[in-house]
Amino acid sequence: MSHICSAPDCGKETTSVLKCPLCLKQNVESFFCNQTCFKRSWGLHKVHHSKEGVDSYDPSPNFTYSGSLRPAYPLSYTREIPAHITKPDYAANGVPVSEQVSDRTSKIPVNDADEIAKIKLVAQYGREILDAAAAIIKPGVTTDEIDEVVHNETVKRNAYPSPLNYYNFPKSVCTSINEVICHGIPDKRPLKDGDIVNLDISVFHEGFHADLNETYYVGTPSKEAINVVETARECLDLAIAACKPGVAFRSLGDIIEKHAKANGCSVVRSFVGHGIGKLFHCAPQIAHYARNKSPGIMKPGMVFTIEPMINAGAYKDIIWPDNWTAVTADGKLSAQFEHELLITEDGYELLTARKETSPGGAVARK
Amino acid sequence: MSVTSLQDAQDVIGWIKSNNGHFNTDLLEIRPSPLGGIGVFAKQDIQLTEDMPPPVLLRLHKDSLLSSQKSCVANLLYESQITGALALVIAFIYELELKELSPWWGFIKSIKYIDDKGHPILPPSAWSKNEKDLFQGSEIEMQGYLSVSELLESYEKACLFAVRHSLESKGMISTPDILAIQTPQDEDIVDGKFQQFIAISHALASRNFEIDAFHEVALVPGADLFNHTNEPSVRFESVYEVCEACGAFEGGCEHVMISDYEDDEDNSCQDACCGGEEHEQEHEQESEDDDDENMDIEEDEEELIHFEGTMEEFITHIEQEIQEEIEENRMEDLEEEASLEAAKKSGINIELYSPEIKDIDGKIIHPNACVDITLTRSVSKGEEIFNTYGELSNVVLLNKYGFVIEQNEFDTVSLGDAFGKLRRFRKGLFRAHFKWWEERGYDLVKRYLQEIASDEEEEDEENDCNDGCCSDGDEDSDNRHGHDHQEDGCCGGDEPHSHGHDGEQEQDEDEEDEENSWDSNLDLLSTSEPNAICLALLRLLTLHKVQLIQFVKRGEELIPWLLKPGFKNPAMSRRMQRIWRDVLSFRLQEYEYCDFKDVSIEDLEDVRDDRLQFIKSIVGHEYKILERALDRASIM
Repeated sequence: MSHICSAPDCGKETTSVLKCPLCLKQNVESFFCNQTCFKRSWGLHKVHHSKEGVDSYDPSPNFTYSGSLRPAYPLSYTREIPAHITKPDYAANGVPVSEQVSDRTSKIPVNDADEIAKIKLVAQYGREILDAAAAIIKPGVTTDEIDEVVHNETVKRNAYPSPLNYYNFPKSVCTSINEVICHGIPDKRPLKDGDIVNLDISVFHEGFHADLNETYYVGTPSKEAINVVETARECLDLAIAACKPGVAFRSLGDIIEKHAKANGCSVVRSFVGHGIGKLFHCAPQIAHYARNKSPGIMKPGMVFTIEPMINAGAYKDIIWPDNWTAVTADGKLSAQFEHELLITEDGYELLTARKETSPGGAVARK
Repeated sequence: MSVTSLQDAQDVIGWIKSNNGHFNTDLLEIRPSPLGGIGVFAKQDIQLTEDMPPPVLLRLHKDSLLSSQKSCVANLLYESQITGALALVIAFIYELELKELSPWWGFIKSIKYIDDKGHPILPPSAWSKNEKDLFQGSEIEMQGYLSVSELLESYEKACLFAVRHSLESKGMISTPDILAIQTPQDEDIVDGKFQQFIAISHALASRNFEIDAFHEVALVPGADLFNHTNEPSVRFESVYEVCEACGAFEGGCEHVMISDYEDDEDNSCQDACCGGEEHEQEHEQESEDDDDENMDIEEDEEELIHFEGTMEEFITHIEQEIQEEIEENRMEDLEEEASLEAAKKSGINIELYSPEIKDIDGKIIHPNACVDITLTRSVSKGEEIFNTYGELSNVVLLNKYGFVIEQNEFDTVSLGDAFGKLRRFRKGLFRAHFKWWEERGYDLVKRYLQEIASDEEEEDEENDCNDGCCSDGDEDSDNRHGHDHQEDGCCGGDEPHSHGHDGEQEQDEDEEDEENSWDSNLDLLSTSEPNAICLALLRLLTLHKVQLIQFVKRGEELIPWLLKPGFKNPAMSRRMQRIWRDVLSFRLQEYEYCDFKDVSIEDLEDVRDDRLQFIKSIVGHEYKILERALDRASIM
């Protein structure tokens, strides 16, 4: 009887009977090729282990968190992908080989009609999945429950949730609450009234990825929350409106930072928008801050995301010990919106546009 | 020499600061140079000490350099497969067109390619016909620097690039004026644009630095403020081996070059960045530097673990190891802090030797991701601080940098054509000599010289001459270090400089193609002595026919004899003198003008006075070198 090795950085089939004893206590069988796989992946695997006597726990109690948010472990077990779904190259061991061997950063892919048709379809799926996930947002719902919805909605469309095991990311969506800038990991923390939460959806279908995100209010938002969220939303809209052939990618940052500053907010510099298509992340890079030096100029057929992360306080970020969760260094709120767009002959086409029925949406500033 | 104005230079310093770069304004000031233009001067004495690394005068993150890879047209250049110096020129023209909208504007505007009178600043190849005629027979002509065809080809490529991308985008990508050629268009307008293109190419050629495998060549704000000398006091440093896909310093990205990946199919290492031979080394360093990121996956898969005990004990064991590692890292951090603290207490200015520069996120940038200008010898207060662009003759200096050094020690006069004449005119005498030289001798001599050179290089490395030994103004420092420098004992062109100004290397490659012809590399040095190859050929020609037959039989073993020193002493044989005089005379006959005493600017139409001065200087020096050689060959 063979199993898939539970090490997220292995993913090979094995007939080994080596099992994690702590998982067994939770009535789960996690098989490993050998002690080497077990030891190497221990840090990635132990996140699933519960602690006796508590519902959830902070895995890094000695870490100096910048805000009040804490991770709530254990993480649920890796969700299954049915065998018939086409997986990206990193699904088994976390290494996106095709991205790593892709060409120079100055080569920006231009997609043909056939490719664009596939990109549009998967972008459409992305929108549907995001809307389905956003629909369950309310106080008391955990981000892990949102992850489950995202995962199931994705699989239902014969698609793969791109974040899952990308560089060993453990879940199918990024959920970023309050001071989390991006790449928050869904866990057992229930959403609270007054939170803001960003859902960042990425999908892989028929060889193409899609990527979009929105920030939502949970219950009744504070004035500060409305300012940072609406500013982020407007920043993205303004940047998108400027897109057409001949525009330098770096100029988008000027537009975004100008609007953020005008509203007393700052722009995160560590994370960028990116090209997307056959690869989850590729050229161009799109920095969101002013006077950046992102190379390249827009041409018809290019597909990329713009995803400004706007902070209520200072732009600086720090990373949690999980090596994923990016939070504001001052612990203040951060909001983000992301669309994927296609450059056309005379402008752009929004591939991940909201529908009339989409949950969330702009709230008037008072 | 530098054509940047003082105000523009100050703006460049401002640009460096606002782009998180480091220009040590405590030690340096910019002011007019006695050589013309502006230069960089020491505000105070700066001492090099043996136990400290050389002070860093300028440090810039590579991301802030202006390269074709970083420009707004990077992707278009990639599509058009334009690389190297031309890619940089085109990128510059597009950035220039954007003015204040370019993130490099504060730097770009300091680059003057138009002179005060509104004329483009041009290399000799673009001078008037009459001006070029004055160079006839000189090294500028011999080495092909009067031809404008290469520039024309580049300009055509650049215009095609602009037109293509404008048409493809239905005009949405606008064409910079300099590259916008309409049909029909007034010839003068086209010519004016071409001249501007040449002037820009010329200005950039004098300022571009070879950076690394990704950026290729780039403009380095601030580094180009240092004037050139054959005895420099700084050098330009840049780590060449970086990821070819994105330019990140080793481990700074996840790119794998395809070749690497194929070599190592099962490599599960996430950060197998960058290429080639450096691979192994990088990984060793990586695991030291970047543990935090790669801890989980950096294990060697070959090494299977066999833990004796229960799985629970194994987990305890793993957890213990993790804790130990955390503790180790903590101790290392503490130690580093302590040593920094100690250094501070002892009065060492860390900032001087390794200035911390931060990226746009406020994170400290690894020095290897930066380019530096570092001091290579002590300088005193008020002294101008020079870089070197290489061991360059005036021909190259004028062509590339637009200036000359009087009596430049690296000037040479090529004698290949003159020997060719000798071969034709003295067929009866030398047929067999030249035949052997062409078929065997030239290659044997060249190979022998290369072997000697590589041996010396090894010795040089052991001697490590980076301490600025030979050129610190100490007049008789020449031979104290026991390594053999040519003539003046200047090590200005030492290895690190090959990372400096780029074009020399390209030129080296060009020369490589022609180097296999029998008449190449036959040079008269600025000391009026023949170079080694030239001496070997001369000595060969002194052999009588019978001697030659014996010589050819013994062949290779006699090569050292051909090359043995002693051109001056013991004195040349009469036979050698006669041959030498013939060669030198043939060479002198090539010059249209070699003496400008009787030539005045009034006699010359369409010749600019400043250019005439350059022509006089270059041709005059060559003439002097030849005359002196001829004099010496006639003494006995």
